[in-house]
Amino acid sequence: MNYLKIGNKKLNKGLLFILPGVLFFAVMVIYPAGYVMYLSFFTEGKGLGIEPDFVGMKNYMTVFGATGFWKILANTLFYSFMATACHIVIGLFMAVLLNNKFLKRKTLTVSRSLFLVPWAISPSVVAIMFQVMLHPKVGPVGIILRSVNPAIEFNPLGDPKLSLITVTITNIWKFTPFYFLILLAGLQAIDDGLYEAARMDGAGTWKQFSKVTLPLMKNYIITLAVFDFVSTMAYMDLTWIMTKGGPLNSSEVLSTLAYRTSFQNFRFGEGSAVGALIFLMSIIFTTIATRMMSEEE
Amino acid sequence: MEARKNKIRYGIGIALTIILTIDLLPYLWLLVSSFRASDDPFTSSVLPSRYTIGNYVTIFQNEGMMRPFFNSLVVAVGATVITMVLSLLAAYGFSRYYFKGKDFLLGFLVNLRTFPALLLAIALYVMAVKTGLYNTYVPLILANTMMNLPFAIWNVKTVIDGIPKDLEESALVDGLSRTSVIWKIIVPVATPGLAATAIYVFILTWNEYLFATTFMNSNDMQLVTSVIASAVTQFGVDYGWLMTTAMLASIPAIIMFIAIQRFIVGGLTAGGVKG
Repeated sequence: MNYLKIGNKKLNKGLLFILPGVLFFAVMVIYPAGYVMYLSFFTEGKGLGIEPDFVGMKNYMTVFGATGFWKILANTLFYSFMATACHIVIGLFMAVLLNNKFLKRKTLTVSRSLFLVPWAISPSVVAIMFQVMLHPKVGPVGIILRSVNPAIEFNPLGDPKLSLITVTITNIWKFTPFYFLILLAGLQAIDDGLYEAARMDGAGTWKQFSKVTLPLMKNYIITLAVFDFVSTMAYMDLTWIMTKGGPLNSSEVLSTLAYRTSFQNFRFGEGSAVGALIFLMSIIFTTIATRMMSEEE
Repeated sequence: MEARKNKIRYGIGIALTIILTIDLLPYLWLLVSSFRASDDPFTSSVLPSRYTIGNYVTIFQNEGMMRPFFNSLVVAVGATVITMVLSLLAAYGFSRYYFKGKDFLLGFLVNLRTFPALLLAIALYVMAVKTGLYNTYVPLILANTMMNLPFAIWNVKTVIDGIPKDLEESALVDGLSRTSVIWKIIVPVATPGLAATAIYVFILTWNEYLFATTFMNSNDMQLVTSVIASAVTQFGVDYGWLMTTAMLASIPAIIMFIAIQRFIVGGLTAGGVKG
């Protein structure tokens, strides 16, 4: 009943249900993933009608050798690290706040729903909202600051010193709710009896958090943080819309570099090389973190 | 004891207020600004001097301004339908059959999404241009399906896992085929979970920006997210129109999202898929 006979081979019928999905992934993920790796070893124009040349590692060398590459790499690490740290710390604070017995059921539901609003908004709406809010002329923040002191020139997105941190804060605003939701689910899975026992032993709120919550949540948090770090490295929406990496490359990260190289300069070979680099870094970070977790057990 | 409890309640209340203010204030400003009249310049004050629904009326009456919403709707509905069909089939297979390497295959499919979308966009763009599908809905629908399918498979599988097998077995004995079992028994029983998954896929596709800006460049094929994103230029912009379009693009997503949040947490924690 559960097998389909083809010749003398038995094919499990369950596989037939899964097959469409697998084929779809093969065409839409596995093939393109291989293709983009392949592209990174060829001259630009490959795939768009221009005869390609195999250039080996040349695209990678061009990327590494470009002026400002190390600055862009540092920006990427700063952006991803700051965003991840704040997502997790603030998200955990919000989750702990809602996961306590003093809260009325209704307060919990309403607060949780409202917390999620930034995450439900499209990145392009979030980006232009902050862009306009922080605009030197029309933005409310600038207007308020000018009413205090007309000499203040407030233009964080146009200032090379502030652009990267401004985009980072926007990212934190948008994505912390997502991590809050995941962390809250983790907290709710912890057995209440453990807190009960800790209270019996005279543990206060902080002790309960540091001796019960944190140790139990440690691997959950690390896994989440690695996922966060890796996806933030490859995330370009907010940076691209808000600053296009500017001014003067001050907020450029690897993801916007890959996008610009590919879709503005149409150098797909180099763009793919940058993309491949992001992917390689993700694998390295994930491997290190997984090792760290399994060693400690 | 009672005094201590009250103190904790106050502390929580203050913390909640601060978080909610930071969370909602920018968006409330956007909401308020969408009611600002076009002759009331944004440079003059933080809040509008008077409120009007003029911006909304203008957009609803202007075909060109409504077009991006229509495009986004086509892509989001298309991606949602394909995702749901593929994920329902795959999830049923994963939930009801045993075969060698099942867990590996499921893990592989769910984790495929960790390959950066940005990288896939480069390859998919080249593929779209080559096949002549650039500037059509097709690559956008397929790319968004690809992004959401891992999460959808996982979430639908969890839903189906929760349905007792007895129902199906008696139907199979009665001579129903597997496909009609899915359609006549699984789908009606699983409707809330399936609907929540479908709505989530719809919202993520509606909100998606990277593919939208990469796979379309002709004016009348733009999706609403890429129209909004490219609105602020050095040549100035009609801020009233921009704020209102941004509101119209985000309000439905927020409402649907709050309605379904309970149903999707499981899939998010397991699949680790970010919106």
